[in-house]
Formats: sequence, structure tokens, C-alpha cells
Amino acid sequence: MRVIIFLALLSILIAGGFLVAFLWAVRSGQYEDDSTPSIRILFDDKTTISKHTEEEGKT
Amino acid sequence: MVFNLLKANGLDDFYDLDQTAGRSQRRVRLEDYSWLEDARLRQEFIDFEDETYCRMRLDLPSIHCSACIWLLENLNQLDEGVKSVQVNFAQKTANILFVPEQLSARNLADLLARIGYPPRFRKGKSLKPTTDKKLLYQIGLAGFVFGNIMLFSFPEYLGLSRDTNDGGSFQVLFGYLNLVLILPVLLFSGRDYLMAAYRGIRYGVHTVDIPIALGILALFFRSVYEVVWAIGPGYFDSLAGLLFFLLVGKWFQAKTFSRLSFDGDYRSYFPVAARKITENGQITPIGLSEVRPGDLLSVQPGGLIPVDGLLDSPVSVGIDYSFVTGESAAQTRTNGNRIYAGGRAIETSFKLIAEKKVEESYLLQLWKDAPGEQEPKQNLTDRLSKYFTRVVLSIALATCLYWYPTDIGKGLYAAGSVLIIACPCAIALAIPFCYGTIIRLLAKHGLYLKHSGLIEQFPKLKHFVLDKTGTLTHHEAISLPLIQSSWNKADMALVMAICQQSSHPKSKALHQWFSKRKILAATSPAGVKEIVGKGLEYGPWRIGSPDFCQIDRSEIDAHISLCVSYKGEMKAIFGQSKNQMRNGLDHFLKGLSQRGQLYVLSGDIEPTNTPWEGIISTENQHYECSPFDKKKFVADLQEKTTEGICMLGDGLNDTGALADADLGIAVSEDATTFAPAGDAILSADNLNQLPDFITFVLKTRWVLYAAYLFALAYNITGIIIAVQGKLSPVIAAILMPLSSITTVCIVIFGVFSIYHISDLHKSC
Amino acid sequence: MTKPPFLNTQKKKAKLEPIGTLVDNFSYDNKIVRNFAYATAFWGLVGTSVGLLAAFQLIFPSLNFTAETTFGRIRPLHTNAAIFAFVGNGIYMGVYYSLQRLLKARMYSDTLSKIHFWGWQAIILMAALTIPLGITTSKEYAELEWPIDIAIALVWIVFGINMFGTILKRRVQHLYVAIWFYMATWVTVTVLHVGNSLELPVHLFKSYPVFAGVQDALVQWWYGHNAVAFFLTTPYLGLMYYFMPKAANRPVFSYRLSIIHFWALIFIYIWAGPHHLLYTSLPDWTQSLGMVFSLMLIAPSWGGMLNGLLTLRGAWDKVRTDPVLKMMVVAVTAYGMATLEGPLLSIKSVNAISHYTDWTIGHVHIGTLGWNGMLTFGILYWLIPRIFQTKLYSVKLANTHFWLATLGMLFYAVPMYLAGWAQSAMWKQFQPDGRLQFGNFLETLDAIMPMYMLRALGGTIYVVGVIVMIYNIRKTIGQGELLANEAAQAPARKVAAHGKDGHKKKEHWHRWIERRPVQLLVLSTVAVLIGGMVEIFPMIMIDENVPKIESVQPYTALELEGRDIYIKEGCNACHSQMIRPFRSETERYGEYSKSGEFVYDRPHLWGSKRTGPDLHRVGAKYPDSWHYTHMENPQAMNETSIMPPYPWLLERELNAHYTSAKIRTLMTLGTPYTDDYAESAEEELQAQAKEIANNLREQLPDHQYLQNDEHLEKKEIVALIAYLQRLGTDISKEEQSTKK
Repeated sequence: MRVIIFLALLSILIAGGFLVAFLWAVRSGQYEDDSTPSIRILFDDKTTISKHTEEEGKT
Repeated sequence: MVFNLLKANGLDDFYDLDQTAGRSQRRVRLEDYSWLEDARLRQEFIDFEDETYCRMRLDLPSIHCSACIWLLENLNQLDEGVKSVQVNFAQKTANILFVPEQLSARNLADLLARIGYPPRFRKGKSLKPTTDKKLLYQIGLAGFVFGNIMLFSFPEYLGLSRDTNDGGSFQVLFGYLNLVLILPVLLFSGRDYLMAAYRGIRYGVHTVDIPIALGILALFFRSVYEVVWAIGPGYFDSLAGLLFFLLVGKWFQAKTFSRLSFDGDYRSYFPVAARKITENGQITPIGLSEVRPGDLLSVQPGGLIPVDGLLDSPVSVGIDYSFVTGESAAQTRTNGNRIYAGGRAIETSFKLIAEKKVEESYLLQLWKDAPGEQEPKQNLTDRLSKYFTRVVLSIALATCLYWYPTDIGKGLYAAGSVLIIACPCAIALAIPFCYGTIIRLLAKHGLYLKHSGLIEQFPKLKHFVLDKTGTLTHHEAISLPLIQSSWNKADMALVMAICQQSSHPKSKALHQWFSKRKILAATSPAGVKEIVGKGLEYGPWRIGSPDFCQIDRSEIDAHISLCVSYKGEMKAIFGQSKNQMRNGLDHFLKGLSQRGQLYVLSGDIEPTNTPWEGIISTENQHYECSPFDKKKFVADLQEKTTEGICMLGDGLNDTGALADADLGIAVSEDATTFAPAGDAILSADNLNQLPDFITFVLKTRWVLYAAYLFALAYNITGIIIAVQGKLSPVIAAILMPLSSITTVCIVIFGVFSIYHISDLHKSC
Repeated sequence: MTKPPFLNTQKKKAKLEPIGTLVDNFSYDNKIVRNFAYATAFWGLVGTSVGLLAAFQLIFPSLNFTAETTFGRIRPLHTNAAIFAFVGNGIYMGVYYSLQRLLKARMYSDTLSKIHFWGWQAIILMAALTIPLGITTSKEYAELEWPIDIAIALVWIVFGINMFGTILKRRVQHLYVAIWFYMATWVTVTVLHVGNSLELPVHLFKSYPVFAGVQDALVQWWYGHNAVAFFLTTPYLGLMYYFMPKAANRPVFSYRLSIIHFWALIFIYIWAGPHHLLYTSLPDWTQSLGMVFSLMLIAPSWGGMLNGLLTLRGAWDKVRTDPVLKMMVVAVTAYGMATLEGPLLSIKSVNAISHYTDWTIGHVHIGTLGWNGMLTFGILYWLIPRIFQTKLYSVKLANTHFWLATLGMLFYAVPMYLAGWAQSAMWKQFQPDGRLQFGNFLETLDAIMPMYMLRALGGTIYVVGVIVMIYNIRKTIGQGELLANEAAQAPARKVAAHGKDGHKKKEHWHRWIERRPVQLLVLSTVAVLIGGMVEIFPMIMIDENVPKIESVQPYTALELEGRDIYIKEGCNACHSQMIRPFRSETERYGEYSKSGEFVYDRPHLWGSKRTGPDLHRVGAKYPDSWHYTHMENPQAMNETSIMPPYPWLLERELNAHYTSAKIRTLMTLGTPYTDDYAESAEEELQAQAKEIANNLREQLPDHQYLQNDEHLEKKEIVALIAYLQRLGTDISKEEQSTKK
């Protein structure tokens, strides 16, 4: 059943790729802030201030 | 402006998203950021700077809701100079990149202050996120290898090597692959345990690392042996799994509250710069450390006195020392008086001539001899592991001897198996997950522990030393007992209007007194004179000390703090003003008194009818004690007793005592702004829950015992198998993760269920 | 405010940069999102309808109208339409919408987006054409032939470039967890697809896989498992982590947990694949081991589910009214159910019951109808009004759809579970005297027919729901207007990139890594692929090391053609060829299957579902005539049979054009044919065909059509009979030889 070698090695290569990705993520501080991003996504379609600065004048 | 921005951008809906959103913010004293223009002073707060850009990570305590994030991160649309802003919500910091040529650091600070987020600059408080990257690497590596070694073990598990004629060939190949995979795990992920064990043996300290290291090494060498001599697949999967679980436990336990600083000392209390007055009368900011004796400094209203010095002011000034000494009443100083660092100028600005350097100031001596980070005491696991190691080793030896006559090879094999299976992963996991859960639950209720090891202090605590002002009492709210009065509504309205115009604490107190009684101030009169150190004068009205109001105190025996007179005739007399007690104090005191001895230490003068009368014997109440007295008191107590001492304090004056106590809890109105150095920070609103905290923590010990019992059962079964030399890799591969997982489950669910039946849970 | 963005001007150090521009003004591409949304809705209808047809065909065999619409071809059409057309487009819709906004950047290239969209639709069309025409590899979820496989790979790479390109030019440093799920999906699916599509073409429409028999099965189910894991699960988890918080307007319950969820899933799923391949009889302890593994797999999945559900804490009032949230809640719950059931089914003892029954069917439909379907619908209802700048036409209708979908799902799944358990029990039931209680397979089938009807009802309800949705969406679009390019603003990219972390670092390599997450992932993929290739070629070359059984010989030319007809007609959709070592099965079908018997099976035809009986030992069981008449009209032989008739097999002449080419191809792959056999393939074929034809003529004297058919030996049916009669007979030869 040599195919198992094929599958296993294939899988470990994928996993290896992910391991590197994981190390990168930690190293580049992706996970230093684990609360703000979840809130931040709620803004992503909010319109910009500049549009509204005139309105501000009115209010 | 902020409101408009949010409204204009339809952020209203975030107010239901976050209850704290839009809560009325604590009045923030506008700081003076002019020192930011001085490149040298600025330097320490700048993460990065080149010709174009400048990056600062600013501490913005008033971040409180998700709308704040949105507003701040869109700052670039308010000012061209800002390039990008990244808010860290948990930490209440913002990482700001800006172009100094367009927007100077100082203007940036002012801009932020203007929109309601005044940055706080404090020396010696690192704002860098505190994730332990190395640990994460170790976990990642272990997890990855764990998974893949299991993958490679499948042929073995599936028994394929037996099914197929040449199955052996790739069984061997996988054996070596596993060996290659395990090496980095052993050397990187497992390093800390091995090193710790080595140190433990070297210095004869028994830590849990020793048996763990024993297990790890046994697993490793046995596996290498089996693979190299093509005997079996080895125990690599168990080894990787073991390390993986251990590391995860470690990570779970290392819960840090990144936005709190547990070592707040004077540097985090004082501003960064002092305002020096040069010969030509210019005011230039200089770093605190640069203040030299003889320098002429200026202190603004509300500003802090940076160093001990002589007051240089035509009029006498009021200085509020409450935070430093615990004295609630403001003190009046006149020209030439010596004034001490840490006091706050109340209404008038003044000059002072520095006498000492900052770090030599009288108060700051406290930190001079305050002990640093003391050695974390040996914890429960370590104590247990001591016996554990011995038992295991002796069993291993016994097994070896037992087989020796018949089959020495089998003897060694069995002995190795004993070491493998007896590896205390269960025990080593119980504590981290137990404490990790507790520390999170306590934080939910406003008690933030510096590190989980402190949990082990709780059961020992028998002496509770309480600071009064700011700890048992509120900071702002002041109660003013009326002794006698002969005034009508109109008078009151007028008096209220008069004292409205002064910012002196007593005037404030009086004003509070009126507003409590729903009095509406009359239209504020013109020409109110404030005679510093005496009181207020408006026509025939006088408000202030008895002499000032020309009232002879002989008539009244009570201690008079404030009078109101009209044409020298008494209108009202007030007794000693008191800071208001915190609510739920009875529960707090009763709860603690059941646990052990209570003490009150206060910088203040002795108050009358306190809630702790009867609960705390008078000889345990000490008043008008200096910071040093407090420190000494705790130190002496330490001498007297071996039992645990818990100190609760809120001010700089308590720092010494906090440091000396076994568990120093800094009580703070707003944990993020300032709390003196201590092992834990307790938000003032949750003060009354302290007894419940302790009971809860005590109860959780049962969970640990249960976990240990389980671990023991598992170890015994394992060892029984092992001594007979019957331990197969598969049994290990099943038993080890199984026991680890069950231990973790037992602990977490146990702690949670105890939490749910505890008073804590009910209270929230 | 509106100075030109300079993001892609130069890649020099920040200091060389012109000061001035603070915010880039750019726009999100909603057009591509709309297109994928349309495709999703459309293929959703097609996929479910085709499934519905299949469901009804199992009740009324008369619904197998023509060769192109027999169940054997409709079923793969349904699975492909559901998975790759419906869910596939759903993924792209969600990714193209969320990715742009999460990264504050327009998609890397509109052209690539277009190519991706039209390319994918073209592939679907090709699939919709080839599968009914019987052009198939017979490998489940990978039926498409090699030219389409290549097309898929190309389009997938286009998608990859477009996605990673966008990630590269992103204006925010942090990659939201959803994006990690997307990236993982891409990398893994690439590898899976390539790994499983390794086949050697005979001609444009026919290829043989490089692996044979057991090995082919292993690869196929390694792919099968991970296809589910990484095409139906991870991308949708990404979508969940984006659209659920958006719809509820609440941040996800615990972002930290979501990160753990991702990495745990990745590291466990990767190696969970092979352990789902438990099919042989295993040592007992592997079962307990399987338990441990399953436990570990459940943990992260449920962590994810709870994280999703808890996101809505305090918003349940909203859930009660908002159809979008309702659908998402059901979806996530379904995910939880499915991920609990999956590991369960992988336990040997459970698998022994569930395998080959409708239990599996129920399980996968909880996943697709519930998890994928509901989440997709939710996203559609949330997203369409936004990009069309309007309100949903009718919340009432949406709620109706919600109930239809939920009920439909339940009416589908529950009967399937019951059917599965009932049939499995009946298969295994013995009489006291040791004979099977239900010797005739049909009895076990008749027993569950009511369940099949209920299932068809459930399907109908579900399809009606989809139609309601399409109407609702159509109306919504009608009252709104597409905002093709949605204006957006963000700090200029260079700045964002610049704004990683403060101090300039000494270490070079990780600065490099920090700045190149994407290249990194791409590179690792390439590494994986190269690695894969390196391993595989020697493996193709070396001869098979599965235990040889001397008497097992390659198929004859005619049998080979017959086998390809078996594949073409999709017989393996209902008939397994894998007798497990249980008494109940050996009793019913005969000697259990040995791995050595499959060494010449390219591809393997084990099948995964027994709607009809297993065929591995059908060889020499019946006379040729039985098969002839049975194929002509199954109901004539037993009226309750639900097998469709295959009259065209009796009429069509066999195309022996490629026979020798096929044999040569198989030789390249290692099947021991001799060169002269390949030469003389045609003659050999005709010889054997004549034999069978004569048998038939003798055995069916009064069969009009047959007797009048003078080209009988040229007919496809003859080849098929040859194959069926050969099936699983080699091993008995051995027994005879040993007897002598």
C-alpha cells in the first residue's frame, strides 16, 4: 500500500506549508490584538467622514 | 463634534452594540502637551521615525466603545497629517502613523484631547502588546508535529504493516521520519521543561518539571531505540502529544491583562515633564529627571508638584495631598513653606524652587526600599511532584530489580515504561487550566491578578490591612455634617451661588451638600472675594474657618470645619467633612472578619461613627500614619505571623505596604488610569465582593483534588500495565491524550460549576 | 482629500514617498459579486431540482426517460451541480464580497474576476453536458474527465492569483480570520484536485487513473474526505465569520476562539483524512483510537459552532424577526450536527452499520441543505439588497422560505436516517436456522420505499423554497439599482504596510516573510505540488505491491469495454463492488472481497451506496440470458425493482475503435497485457462476443428481438454481460486449482 506514503507525505507537505504560515502570522504580530479586528469588520462599509463634514456644519 | 461625527456616520446603532458606549466620560483634566515639542523628551514615546513619518503608540484611557475605534481609525479624515491609526481596544492604545511636517506630535496630542481622547504619557509603562510569541511558536510546532506523527502512525494503527508483504519497508521509513520530526519538538518546544528540570536538579529544588522531563526523555530514548533497532514504531506520537498539551496548558495559564500595569510607580503617576522658568522668564518643559535643585518651576492649577521644594508665591495656596498621604482635607501653604512632590495644586498656580532631585523626593523614598519582583513561591504542583518523582523512580527501580533475575532486558523495558506512563501530564495540566479559568472568572468581576500563582496565596490570608481614604471611602463624594444652622431657603440659594465660584474642596463639599438637598443656586453674584487660607467673602457673607467668620468656638464643642456667617452672626456650622463610605461595606467587613484579623490604616485623622466600629477593635485602627508607618506596620506584621497578609490600598502612600504584603491589592476607580504597584488590581465597585472571591477560590481547591485523584487512578492503571512490561505504543497513544483531555475537562467544568453555585455568580 | 492614490507607484522605502496623499479613494467591485450571486441562485435551483428528479426516479423508475437521464447519470449530475455549481458559486460570491471589504481593496484584477466567473460557468456547462452523455471517470465528486479537470485547475489558479493578489495590495495589515479560511481552502483544494485527478488519457473523453484498485480507492476517499472538509466546510466557515457578525451587527463572540478554531481545524483535518478510510477489518484497538481522534475533531468544530451561535447572544429578539439571522442559526446548528455525526460515522462499529445505506445520504444532506444551503440563502438575502441599494422585497416571503427550507431539510434527513437504520438492520437479520431473514435484497428496499417518498416530499418542499427565494430576489433587484462600483476610502496602502511594527529589524529573513505572506503561501503550495510529483512518479512505475493472487488476471478486451459501459451507465451509483467481511454480507453475496482482486481495476468501482445489491460476486451467478432480459426490462423479472431499463444497450453497437488504445494505456500504467494482445485486441474481442451471443441465442429461443438481431455480438449488452460474468470469479478459479 505504497500509496499511503504518497498521501501521508502530501499531507505533511500541506501541513508544513500551514506551519510556516502560522509562524509568519505569529511573528508579524497578526495575533497581538485579538479583540479589535472582530469589531473593526463591522465598520467596513461605513461611509467616510469627509462626506459628512458639511452636514456637521448644518447640525 | 464627536457626536456629530458618529451621528453623521450612522454609528448610532453601535450604542446598542456596546452598553458602555456613549457613557458620560469622567471629566478629564486637559494635560499640557507642550513638552512634546522637545525632541529629547518626545523620543522615548516614539516607536519609529524617519524623514517622512513618525509612529507613536499612544495610551488613550478614554477609549470605551466600538464607536471610539471607528472614530479614531478615521482620524486621517479629520487631519491631513495623520496617515493611519490602528486601535487596540483591549489595551486602550492607538498605533498612530503621522507626518510631523503636517501635524506635530504636540498637535496630534491636542487634537486627540479635543475629540475626547487625551493621550496619557507615562514613563516606564510599556504599551507593547504582551503576547509570548515564543510559546506560540512552540505550540504551533508541537501541534504540527503531533498531527503528522499520528498521520505516519496510521499504517501502524491500521495494522497495514501486517496486512501487506512489504509493509515493513514504509513502517521503517515512517519511523525515521517521525524521528526527524520529533527532534525540533524536543529541542525547541520541550526545551524549557528540560532546562527547568536540569536547573531543579542542580539547585536541588523539586519542581514538576523533573518528572515531566523524566517522562519526555524516557519516551524519546525508548522510541529512538525501537526505531533504530526496528523493533517498533516508538512513542513519538505520545511524546509530541504530551508536549503539545503541556504547552497549551502553559499558554492558557499565562493570561495577562495587557491594558493594566501592575507596577505603576511614581513615574507612571507624575507627568513626563516639569515646567521650568528660565532666567528670561520663559517657561520651557524639561524632563523630570533633569530637574536640579535650585531650578525655578511653575505649577498650574490642577498640576502636580514634581519635586520637594519651597513655595514661592505671594498668596497662600491650597494643596491636595489626598492621593499621596491619604489626608482628605486640602492643606494651605504660604510663601516659603516646604511642599512635597505628589501634591496637587488646587485653584491657584504658583512657582516653587526645587530643593532636591525628583527621585530623592521625600515620598519617593518609598520605592527606594520597596522590594522588587519577589521569587514566586513553590506552588502546589511542585510540592506534590517532589514525592511523585521519588515514588515513580523507586517503582521503576523496583520493577527493574524484579525482572533482573529472569530477564534484565525486559526489566529495563518495563522500568522505561513506568517512567513513560507515570509522566505527570495530568497533574501538570490540572493546575494551569484550573488557575487559568479562575483568573478569567475573577477578572470578569473586576479583580485582576498579576499572575495566576497568586491564587495560591488566597487560602493563607488571615490578616486584612485596609487603607481608608479612597479604599473604604469614595474619592470624590464628600459628606458634610451640619451641626447647627439658622438660615432660610433664600440664604442657602445665595450661599450655594457664592461657593459655586470657588474650586476649593470645602466650597465644593458645601456645594455638594446643597445640591444633595435639591437647593437651586441663586444667580451667581459678582464680586465674591476668595481670601486664600481663610475663605470666601461676599458683602456681609462669609464662608470659611470659624475665626474668619468671627464665631467663637467655645459655644460648640464639636470639631468645626466650616462656617457660614452673615454680618458676623452664625448662619450654619459644619462638622468635620468625611469622605463617603463605599457601598456594601458591611458585607465586605463581615465577610473578611470571618476570615481573619482586620486592620485599618489611614493617613487621615480619626473619623467618627464608622461602619467598622465593633468589627475592628480600636487597637487595630491606626490613623494619621505616614506612608512609612503603613509600610512598617505591614513589615512588622510579617515578622509577627507566618499567616498570609492581604493589604488593600489605593494611593501612592500605600505602595510600600502593598509591596510588603503577601497579596497587595490596589483598589482603583478606573483600573486603566492609575493604580499603585501591587499583586492585583481590584476595581473599586467590586470591593465588597472580595470575601466572595476568597470563598470561591477556596472552594475550587476541591476541583484540583478531584483532578489529582483521577490522575492518580490513571497513573496506577498505567503503571500496573507498565511494570508487567506490557505497555505498547498504542496503549500509551490512547491513555496519554485521553487522560490529559479528561483532566482538562474535569478541571474546567469543575471550576465553572463551582462558580455557578457561588455567590459571585449570583451577584452579577 | 481627493488626491490620486499612489499605492502601486513604487515599492521603495517609505521615506522616498511623496507626502500628501493620506487616503486612497477606490471602489469595491460589486458587479462580480452580483454575477456570482445570480449564478448561485440559478445553480441552486438546478442542483436541487436535478436532485429532486433523482429522488423521484427511485420511486418511479419510469422517470428514467432516456439514456441521458437514467439515475446513474443524474446522481453525479446532481452532486456536481450542488457542490461545484451551487456551493462553488456561493463561495466565490461571499469571498469576492467580503475579501474586498476586509482588505480595503478592490479585487486584484477585474479581468481575472471575469475570467474566473465565466470560466467556472463554462466548466459547469461542460459538466452538465458530459455527465449525462456518460463521459465520466466514475470517481465520486470527481467524475469530470481530464480535459475539464485541467480547465478546473486553470480557473482555480486564476481565482488564486486574484485572491492572493488582492491580499498583497491590501490596505490593512491584519488578515481577518475569514481570510485565513479562504487561503487554506485554496491551497488545500489545489493539492487535492491535482492529487486525485492523476489520470492517463486514452482519448479526449476517456482516461484511466494512475492508481488501481485499493490504492485508487484510498486516493479517492482521501480526496473525498478532504473535499468535504475544504470545499464545503472551511470556506463556509470563513463566510460565517464574516457575514454572521455583519448580519447581527455584533462582533463575533470570541475572536481569539475563532483563531484557535482555524488552526486546530487545519492541523487536525489535514491528517484526519486518511483515518476516515477505515474499510478493512482492523485490530480492535484502532476503534478506540478512532474514538480519540473523533473527539479531537469534534472539539474545534463545536468550538466554531458555539462561537457562531454565541455571537447572537443578546440578539435573539433580532433573530426572531430577521430571516437572515434565522437561516444562519439553522445553518450553524446543522454544521454542529454534521460535524458531530461525521466523526461518529468514522468509528468502525458505527461505520459497519451506516456504510452503503441512506444514513450517509442523510448525513451529507444535513451538511449541504442545512449548513451550505441555509448559509448561502442567508448571505444572498443580506447581500443582494445591499449591492442593489434597496430593501428586501418581502421579509414575509423570506421567512416563508426559511420555514420551507427548514421543513424540507427535516423531511429529507429524518426519513433517510430511518431508512438507513431499517435497511441496515434488515440486511443483517438472520433466521434461527442461520439463513438470512430477508434473502431477497428487494425486500429490504420495498420496506423503505415510504421513506423514499417522504424524502421526495422533503426535497420538493426545499425546491419550492428556492423558487420562492429566486422570486423574492428578482423583485428586490427590480426595485433597486446595482451599485456596480461602491466608493470607499482607506489609508494609503504603503502607509498601512509601513505601519506593521515600529523598529526596523535586523533579521532579514523574517522581515521578508512579514512582507510576503502571500508569496509564502503560494510558494508552499508549489513546494507541495513538486513534492507530490516527485513522490508519485516512482510510485506509478514500480509494480503494485498489494498481495498478488495468482489467479487474478487482467480483463479481456471485451470485458474491459463492458466495464467502461458499466462506468458510462453509472452502475456504481447504486451497486457496490466491495463485500465486507461480515457474515451478513458473505451470506448474501459470497466470499468477501480481497484487496488483491482489484489490482487491475482502473478506476475502482467499489461504490459508496447500495440502492441495489452488491455485484462483486455476481459473475457466473446467473446465465447470460438473465442479464440480457434484466437489462431490457428489470421490472419484468421482479416488478418491485426500481432499476431503470437499459433497452439501448440491446440496440447500440459497441465502439471497439479504441480498444487497443485503451489496452496500451493500461500497459503504460502497469497492467501486464502483452503487445500482441494489444495488437489482436479486436479479434479477441469479437471471438469472446460471438461466444456470448451464441449462448444468448440458445438460452432465449423465443425472444423475438434477439433472434432477429444478426449483429447481436456487436451490441454493447454483450460486452457488459462479459464483464458482469467475469466479476469476482477469478478467486474461485484459484480455489478450483487448489482443489485439483
